Amino acid sequence: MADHCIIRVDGQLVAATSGESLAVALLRAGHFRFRESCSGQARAPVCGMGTCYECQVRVNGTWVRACLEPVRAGLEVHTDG
Amino acid sequence: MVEHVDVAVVGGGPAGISAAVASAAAGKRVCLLDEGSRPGGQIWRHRLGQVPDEAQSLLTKLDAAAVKVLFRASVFDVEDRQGSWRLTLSQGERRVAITAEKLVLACGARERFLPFPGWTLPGVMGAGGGQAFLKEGLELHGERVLVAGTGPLLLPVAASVGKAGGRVLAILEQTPWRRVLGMLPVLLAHPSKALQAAQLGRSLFGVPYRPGWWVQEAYGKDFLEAVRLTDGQREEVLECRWLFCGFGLVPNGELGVALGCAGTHAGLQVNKAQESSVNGIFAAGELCGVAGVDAALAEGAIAGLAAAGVWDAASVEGHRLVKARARARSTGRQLERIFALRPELRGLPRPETIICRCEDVPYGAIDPSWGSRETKLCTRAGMGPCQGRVCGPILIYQFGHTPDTVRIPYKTTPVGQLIAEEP
Amino acid sequence: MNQRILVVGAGIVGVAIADRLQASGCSVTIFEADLPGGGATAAAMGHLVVLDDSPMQMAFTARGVALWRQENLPKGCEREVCGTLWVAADEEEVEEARRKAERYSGLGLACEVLTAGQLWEAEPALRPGLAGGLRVAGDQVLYPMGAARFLLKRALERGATLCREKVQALVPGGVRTEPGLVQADAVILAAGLGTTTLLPELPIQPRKGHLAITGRVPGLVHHQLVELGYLKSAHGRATTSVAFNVQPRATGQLLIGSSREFAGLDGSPNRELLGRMLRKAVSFLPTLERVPVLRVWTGFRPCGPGNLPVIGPWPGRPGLFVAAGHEGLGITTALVTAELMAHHLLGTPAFLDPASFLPEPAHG
Ligand SMILES: Cc1cc2nc3c(=O)[nH]c(=O)nc-3n(C[C@H](O)[C@H](O)[C@H](O)COP(=O)(O)OP(=O)(O)OC[C@H]3O[C@@H](n4cnc5c(N)ncnc54)[C@H](O)[C@@H]3O)c2cc1C
Ligand SMILES: Cc1cc2nc3c(=O)[nH]c(=O)nc-3n(C[C@H](O)[C@H](O)[C@H](O)COP(=O)(O)OP(=O)(O)OC[C@H]3O[C@@H](n4cnc5c(N)ncnc54)[C@H](O)[C@@H]3O)c2cc1C
Ligand code: FES
Repeated sequence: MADHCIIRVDGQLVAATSGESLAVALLRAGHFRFRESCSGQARAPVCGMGTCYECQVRVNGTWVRACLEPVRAGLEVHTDG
Repeated sequence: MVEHVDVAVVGGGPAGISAAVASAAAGKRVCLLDEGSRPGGQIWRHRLGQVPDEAQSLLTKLDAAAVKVLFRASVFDVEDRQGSWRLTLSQGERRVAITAEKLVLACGARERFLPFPGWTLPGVMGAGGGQAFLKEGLELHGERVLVAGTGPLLLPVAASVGKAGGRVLAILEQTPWRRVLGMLPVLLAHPSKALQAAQLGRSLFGVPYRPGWWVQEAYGKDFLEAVRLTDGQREEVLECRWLFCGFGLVPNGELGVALGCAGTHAGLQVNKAQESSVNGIFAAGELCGVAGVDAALAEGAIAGLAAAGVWDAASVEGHRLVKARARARSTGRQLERIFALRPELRGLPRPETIICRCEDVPYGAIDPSWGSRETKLCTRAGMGPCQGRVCGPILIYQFGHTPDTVRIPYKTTPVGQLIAEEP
Repeated sequence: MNQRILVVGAGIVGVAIADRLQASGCSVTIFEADLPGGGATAAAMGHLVVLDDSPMQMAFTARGVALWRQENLPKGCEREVCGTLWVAADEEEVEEARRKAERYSGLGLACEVLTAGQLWEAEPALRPGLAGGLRVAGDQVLYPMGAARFLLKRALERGATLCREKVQALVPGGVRTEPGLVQADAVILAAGLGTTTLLPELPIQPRKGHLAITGRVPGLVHHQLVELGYLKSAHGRATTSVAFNVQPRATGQLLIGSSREFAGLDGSPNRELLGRMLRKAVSFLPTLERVPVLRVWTGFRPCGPGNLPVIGPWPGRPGLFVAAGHEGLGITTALVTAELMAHHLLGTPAFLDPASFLPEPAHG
């Protein structure tokens, strides 16, 4: 089942597994700053189920909750908001 | 094109799957919708191929049944179309509309979080949240993990940490020992739960379980480094990398409330056939009040049969389901009493502690004399993307507020998808 | 000279009046049935805008905006002097922009007509192919609830009293509330939609509007953007209409408006109208399509019988004054309304012809 693929996170290549949650892929790769809060704090996933929006990142230009987003080869991920 | 079905089920956890399977078995056209990428809801979130047996049989039935299943589908609007319901959902880049004669809400529950200094640091997660990521493949490579909060959920979370290669320093259970012992009669009444507990106990051998203890503060710069804990008298500081901390569950009643279903933040009200106060809307599982997977399975089946118009409480199957529901609900109520939140937890936030994570509203900005609406309008608490799903229960707990009104979109939705089709 | 005044309603209009009169030495009590600022005020967009439907409307709104500029507002009011950019879709609207510019300049307001190129430079997110625009520099944006609370707080610090009671009826020389009668030298009715219940001769109708708030997209839009077609599309009285109206908030969010309809007091969203409103917004700002919406709400503009609000003494009822029916401009004109009211009660200068706002005899 393990179907390895490469995604790009803030310009850097990250190895991940197709179909797994993007949040897990980012955490495994050592990304702990998913978004910056409005007062400038680093935030990372909390609820793991799409409720808290702390895991929001931009994928191919659209805002998504990383915990609900399955990894696909070639995703362009930005953690700038 | 708008698809029409007899029964639309929102939520693909045990309750939703069970409802969909039951309705489909009665010959109805059924559609099952869930935000996640696979069926199973919050409990069965394992990576493919690792689904537990109890789940597998239901999932097999779902596969076999003529149920149209839509995943990654966030239902953001439901309209009353005089006799039918029109659901609009966002599925990635797509907008999908479905009309249904009957609606089964099985939106489950979310975790309750309580604020303490440092709870917004990366590395601090929900207990269920952490477990979700572990089940989905997060590895911990010997990292130090503290599991804290309340409820039976903490034990499987700790077990998952161990399985993922983490080192559980302790399980902090805020409820005191004498109340935890109240679990014994519950376990004795449910041999299967006792067995689960025993298995858990084995896998957690050597992990300190500390009832009457809770987290006071989390420290760290960019990431969690240490946690200060207390039992009200003593204090300790533990170095750790992760804190998985959750204070029980809160029903996701928003959709039902928005549709006019009677209920409170503790759950929607339903009758014996799982029908809400609104004709044609049924509800099952955690959103009727937290009672666990057994209640979800029974209520889902009842709701599915009732929505299909074939619910018969007097049948053999009907008897079985009613009994299972009653048993599970009564256990749920017992657990609720046992794991009631202690008042000391209200004193944890300091004036600068964030209450609303979306809008970074500090505790000190909230005047305790304010009501819910005033708090929101004056501080922005609850105005962010989660729309008070996280801080709402906190404000209810801290200040006795009432839940905020629910407005569309029920889930944050891009402008383009909110635009209705040309008439 | 210490007049005792009762103000009914703590919306933006009521608190502005209370603050103004208390500052001039009156002794003011404000009655509020619900949450201060929680009516139309809490639902509003908070665009402080000069409109030129008629010369008097223009003078009224221009004075309103000028008075807001003089206020030193705290951070919670989220005031931004971002200006309004009126967007012209075609040559006809550019012509309208030029005429508008003349009228604005005539009142001494800073404004400039933009070519298509300048428009694109000012707001690169607008769709290509627009014809030009008009920038009105002094228009502002604020958070109406924050502004109402600021004015209320200041009035209370100046010695006014807030009484969280519903006024059940107007009685000669005072009001009746649940606890009893309260007498005063003057009663000022500023109850928004609640006005008609207390004074049936003055019909104030709810004119419903939708707003949608987005997630944070700082820097996408710089001015409050309004289509020049707005005056055509939004101000026809009877019709249901939508207009392109997008506001950058201090938070980096966008507030998307606007719609107008008479639909009673049903606050549930009209999906068809909301769809039209958002479609219009996307047609001007294509990138909006992917921007997430967090919440959609509706509010009711208090719409009076005429094109201007009613401000002044009510004929035949000595001691009763009215300030109601501000429709979609009550935030903009709250302070100038207070100035007019002070003129009636205290004889202070009015800057505008107070007669234009007096209740028409037919309604009196
Ligand atoms: C974080 C967490 C961890 C848990 N861990 C355990 C455990 O380890 N062991 C245990 O016995 N019990 C656990 N539970 C309890 C268990 O989830 C419940 O007992 C059981 O799953 C209830 O089933 P349900 O169908 O009511 O809800 P859920 O399983 O929560 O399913 C609800 C589903 O609805 C979906 N949904 C909600 N709103 C929308 C919408 N608007 N549009 C589309 N989809 C929507 C959600 O994505 C979710 O998949 C946990 C619960 C939570 C919240
Ligand atoms: C969607 C929308 C967008 C808008 N955008 C703008 C904008 O961008 N710029 C702008 O200038 N204006 C805007 N407006 C218009 C503006 O909101 C109103 O004109 C203004 O708020 C009216 O203020 P008010 O004080 O008259 O009414 P309200 O704010 O409604 O206040 C009336 C108060 O009186 C109280 N009350 C009623 N009856 C009684 C009683 N019997 N006893 C005691 N208290 C009572 C009510 O509880 C209420 O608090 C907008 C309005 C809407 C709906
Ligand atoms: S972790 Fe909460 S929404 Fe993704």
